[in-house]
Amino acid sequence: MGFNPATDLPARESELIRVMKEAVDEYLEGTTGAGRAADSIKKDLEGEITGIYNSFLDLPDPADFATEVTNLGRALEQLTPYGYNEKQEEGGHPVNHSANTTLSSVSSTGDHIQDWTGDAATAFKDEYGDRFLQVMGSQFNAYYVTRHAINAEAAVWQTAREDLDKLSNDAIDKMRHVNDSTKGDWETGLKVFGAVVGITAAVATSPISSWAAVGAGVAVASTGLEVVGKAGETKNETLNNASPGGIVESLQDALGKIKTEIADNETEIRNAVNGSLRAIHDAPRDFLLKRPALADAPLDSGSYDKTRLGRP
Amino acid sequence: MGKSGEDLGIELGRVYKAGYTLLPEVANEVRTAWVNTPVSVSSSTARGSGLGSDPGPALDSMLDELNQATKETEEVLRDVGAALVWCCLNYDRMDQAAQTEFDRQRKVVEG
Repeated sequence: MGFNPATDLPARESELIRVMKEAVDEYLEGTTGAGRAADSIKKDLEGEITGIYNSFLDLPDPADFATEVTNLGRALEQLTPYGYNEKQEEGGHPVNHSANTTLSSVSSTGDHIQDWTGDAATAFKDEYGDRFLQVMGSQFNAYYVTRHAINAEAAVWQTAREDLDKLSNDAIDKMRHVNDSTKGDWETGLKVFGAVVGITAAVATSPISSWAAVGAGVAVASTGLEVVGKAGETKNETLNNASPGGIVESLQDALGKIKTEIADNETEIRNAVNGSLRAIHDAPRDFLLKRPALADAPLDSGSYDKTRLGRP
Repeated sequence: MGKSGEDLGIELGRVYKAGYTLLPEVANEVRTAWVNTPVSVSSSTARGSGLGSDPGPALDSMLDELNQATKETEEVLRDVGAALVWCCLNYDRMDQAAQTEFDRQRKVVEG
């Protein structure tokens, strides 16, 4: 059974309080006025621990993005005028996708009618056929950004859940052993620091051919696709486990860092998507060509000349 | 002076193929992209307690752009294809040699 923040974190919070109370009693055992001091410390720490995980109970599930990432991958295969590659599994080789050569039929159609005399024929050739592949490249880039942004979002929640699972268990374990003389340091590597994405807001620029191959390390289990950017890094933290109070404070700090990293990662994702949206809005005809007059040829009029295709 | 005779028939055959086969093929590819484009992901990115910086609304806007672009591209390709087919079938200045050649080409295209 996997980690479920909504049920596991409250249970671990209760367990941490229970173990903390035993640890405080043991910590103060034999000191003057131990009973009253212990009660006061336990009450304070219980107040600190209660609700400590409340911000993390309702988290997105990385599995919920799997269908979208898979389907957008299928869309990419249709829309690629140039071909591209992606890393689709941890440690795997890039998967190469060939260009969809069917797309070039639009420009060859423009070539077929380039000598026709009608203005609709000329306009189709110049303003649609000749620009089609380039604009499909822009649509491909926008799909690419979107797919990897969604995959990065899945990675944020996968790594955040892994960190929360480990941290909440470690806190109980460290509390249980706080009075051991050979307990060692409390070190942990927070993975959510490595989920940061380096998605460029490229839409109407050069073709993407091997963007995802830059990614290293974090493969999203639910999507099977690696994250773009400096993924896979962890930030090592040495936490204070010298006393029950130190453990609670360290836990609060680490949770705060996870929160900050989630926000920073998601800001990068939003910036990438918003940057792409801006590029589309700034140059809409680089993303979607104007409907050509030929598409609206009045076929039901019965008059050939009204189609404005002209003669070869 | 434009093309006539067999040359015209060949020319019309080429354009007929583009409208009847080639553009619908491209439209089908773009349609496959469109049917695989999600409408929204913001229900999956939603979370409680104001955690993080939810990219769901931005992603939804982007998906909206992608859906519109692929849907409109598919429609344009089908409409231009239909226009080319209509123009070839209703070309009003074909001589007998052009008509014979075009009919032959059309049969090949339609398989």
